[in-house]
Amino acid sequence: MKNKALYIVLFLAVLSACSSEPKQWTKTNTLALDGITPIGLSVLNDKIWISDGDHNRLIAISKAGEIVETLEEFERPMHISSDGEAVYIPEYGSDSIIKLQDGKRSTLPVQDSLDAPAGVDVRGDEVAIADFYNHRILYGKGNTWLSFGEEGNKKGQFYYPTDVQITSDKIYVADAYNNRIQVFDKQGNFLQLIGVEDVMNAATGLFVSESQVFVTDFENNRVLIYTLDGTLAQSIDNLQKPTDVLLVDDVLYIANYKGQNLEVYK
Amino acid sequence: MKYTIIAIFTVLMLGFNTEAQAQKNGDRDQFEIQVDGLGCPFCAYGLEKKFKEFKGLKNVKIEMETGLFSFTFPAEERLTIERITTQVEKAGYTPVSAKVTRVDGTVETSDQKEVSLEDYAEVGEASLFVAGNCGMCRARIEKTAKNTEGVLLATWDEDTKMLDLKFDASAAKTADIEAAVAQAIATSGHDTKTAKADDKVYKGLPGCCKYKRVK
Repeated sequence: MKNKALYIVLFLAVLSACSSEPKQWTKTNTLALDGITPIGLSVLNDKIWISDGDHNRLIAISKAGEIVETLEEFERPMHISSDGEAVYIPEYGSDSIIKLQDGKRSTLPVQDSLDAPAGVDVRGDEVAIADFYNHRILYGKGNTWLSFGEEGNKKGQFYYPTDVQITSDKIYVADAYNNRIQVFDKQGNFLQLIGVEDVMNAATGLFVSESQVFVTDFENNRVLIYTLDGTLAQSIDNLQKPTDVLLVDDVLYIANYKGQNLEVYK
Repeated sequence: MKYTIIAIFTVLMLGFNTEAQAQKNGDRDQFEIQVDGLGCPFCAYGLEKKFKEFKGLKNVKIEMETGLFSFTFPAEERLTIERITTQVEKAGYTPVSAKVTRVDGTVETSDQKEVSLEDYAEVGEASLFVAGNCGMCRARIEKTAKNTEGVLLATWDEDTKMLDLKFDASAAKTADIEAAVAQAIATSGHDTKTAKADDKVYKGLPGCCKYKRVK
């Protein structure tokens, strides 16, 4: 009898684990950014950094939404990133990547010429750049650089890529105007498409966590959330031209370009 | 009978306020261009980037909500409205109007003047489906339709994708107008139910205009 009860408890535990739904994100707050048109988001030193493309500046806010720093004179800063030590800013207008560390700016050496870099990610000695008008990704590791992709809509081709993220073994690309996410290995080999069935209209920004892929669907005013295998888990709707997503300590921030705010989800 | 639906005209005038504006800009002309379809920042910054080949461009501003693109340019270059509207089109966008305030206070504008429906004895109505996405699509679709002979007014709805037309019914039948407009619009890059855009033209549309093709 005792064994039978134990089996039932075990069975229910396994059943519960198998049927558990992916996490559903719920809105908890809106951080107003009056006069700021956010494009890209990143985090460094407990501050959330925001690129304000329309006004050629970088803004840092506290997690409560208070502006703590404003840096001017960038040339159309787009999807920024951080490696924990510096903020990296792709300047769409100057065709360069700016490194901002301890208040000092320098230009990141890039092997090839860019045409409107729209997104950058830096992870250790790796750099990936979404090279918008060249319809490609430029990926560097140490001194070795690799360019992959070309204009088109087939697998491995891009149509105006706008954001990129490096994970431990993959490179995720927001293939904006092909309305999809593409996943590659670090040799530039195509691995996976995400979001093709969901009729996105400008997949402009992305964030990849250990279990989910977050994509901004700009024209449709929503963020789509996928499991890593590409299954749609949630759609966050009624946004206002979202351009980027950022996950910090299990808190999800969504940049609303038109709404001039960050929506916060937990 | 040849109808002139839209007349483009240039107005030259002088005014005290414009002189003040010119003085403010020193030796630079002030340009303001109303561009349709600058709904996404990537499009807007792309337009700005295409103007970088005009060396000497400064004080660039883009107002996304209104579609106003403005900049200053050295007066001695005598940059013309025609050149800037051509450059806007070359970049894949649609100029609605343009204005330049010269350094001496002279203002030049390009503007569109529409003919009143009351001038026509018989006005017909027609509507057709046109595939498109955004404000820039709307500008292209409506401009193409209005340039079709016989069409008086054209309004495209971004949500329903329906193009509503008013036309001179004394000169053309509904079916003929619909066919002519559908063909012209397909040539501009947008699918209708009866005429499809050439793949090359479709491919050349700006990124945000990449609508789902009509099967």
